[in-house]
Amino acid sequence: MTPLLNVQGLTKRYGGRIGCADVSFQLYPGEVLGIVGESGSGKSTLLNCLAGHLAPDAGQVIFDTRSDGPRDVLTMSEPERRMLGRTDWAFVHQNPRDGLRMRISAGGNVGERLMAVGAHHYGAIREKATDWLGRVEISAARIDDRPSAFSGGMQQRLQIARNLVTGPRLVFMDEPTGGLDVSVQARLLDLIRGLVRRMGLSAIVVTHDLAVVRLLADRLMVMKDGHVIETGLTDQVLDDPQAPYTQLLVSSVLQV
Amino acid sequence: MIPMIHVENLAKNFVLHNQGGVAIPVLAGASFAVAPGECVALIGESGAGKSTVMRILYGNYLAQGGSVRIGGLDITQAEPREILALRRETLGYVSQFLRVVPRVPTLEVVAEPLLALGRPEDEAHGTRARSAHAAAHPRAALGAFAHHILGR
Repeated sequence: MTPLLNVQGLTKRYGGRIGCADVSFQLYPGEVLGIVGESGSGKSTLLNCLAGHLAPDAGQVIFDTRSDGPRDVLTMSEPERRMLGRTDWAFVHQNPRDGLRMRISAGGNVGERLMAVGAHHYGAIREKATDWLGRVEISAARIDDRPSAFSGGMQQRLQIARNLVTGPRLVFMDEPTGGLDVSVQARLLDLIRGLVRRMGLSAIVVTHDLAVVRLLADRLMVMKDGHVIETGLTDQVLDDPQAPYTQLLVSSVLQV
Repeated sequence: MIPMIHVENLAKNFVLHNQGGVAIPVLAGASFAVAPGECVALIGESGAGKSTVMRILYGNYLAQGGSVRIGGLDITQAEPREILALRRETLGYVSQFLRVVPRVPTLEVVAEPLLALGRPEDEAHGTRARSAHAAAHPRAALGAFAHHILGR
């Protein structure tokens, strides 16, 4: 089987500081990879390098494209990469404001991504947008409201709908439940888990919340100071952590 | 006959890095085989390593040495996705404590393995899930949450 994403030696420096160093891994279709570590461990830097938001200093990010097979995303032309970002890739930001257009309606936010890939029949776009709002538990009656009138949890669900409407094959998520109330977080996690399973999505989820990865991720990468220090099956890494830092991380989780 | 489970020379230590790096030896030189259709009981006193063996067989704990072959796959060398495939298709695990998401109805808990195998939703939620569910909890409502069930 060809990996969907094959990352080799990815390195990003900020001047003399290391963002992430020599990261290599493969992601196979249908797999959900969790990247955990404390603030400053390099997990967001890594995600942004993978998604093309940051230019790494070294390495390869080879994506199995629909039309041409495996290609290094880093050497693609900007329009090609942007097209990938609108079709096969999706990026769910921690702050919905970074992933939504706050001045256009909820329906418009979902429809915009459809139009970007060539949809132009208004009725069909609106119908699909309504369907997707339903899937993320937003009432069809709110389709013409702006996201600024939505709660934080609703905004995050809208961002997910906007991202998934084009049927992407790879979803990047940066702390998708960060900054939400715990009850809202739980519902959102259930929703993401359901969508990921049902659509057979491949995803890379960055979080500092181990409960999130226990629920969503098939396997884990633990990062510290820009380096990957441990990898493995999610339940194995959490139940039998090997590296000193991972043991500390797992034992630091507060029990209710 | 090829054994279903073949454990050879299994070794396991727990190293507690944050408690002065003490190493707790649990298993050394453990070997056994289980034939297809055979039911084997693992007995021993508390702390003897029974659960550790079971968790290694399931891929939940890492072994420090030896090999564990289940259905031809060496768990100690396998990639995470190979272990996940084995768990979906070959290997089940009944634990003393069912770890479920508290918000999920029991029917969903039973249906999930079928969905993971790619079965259609109506089938997963249909006869098989309902019968398994009824066998486990005849009087429980299908929509009840799993964590409300006694002795889960």
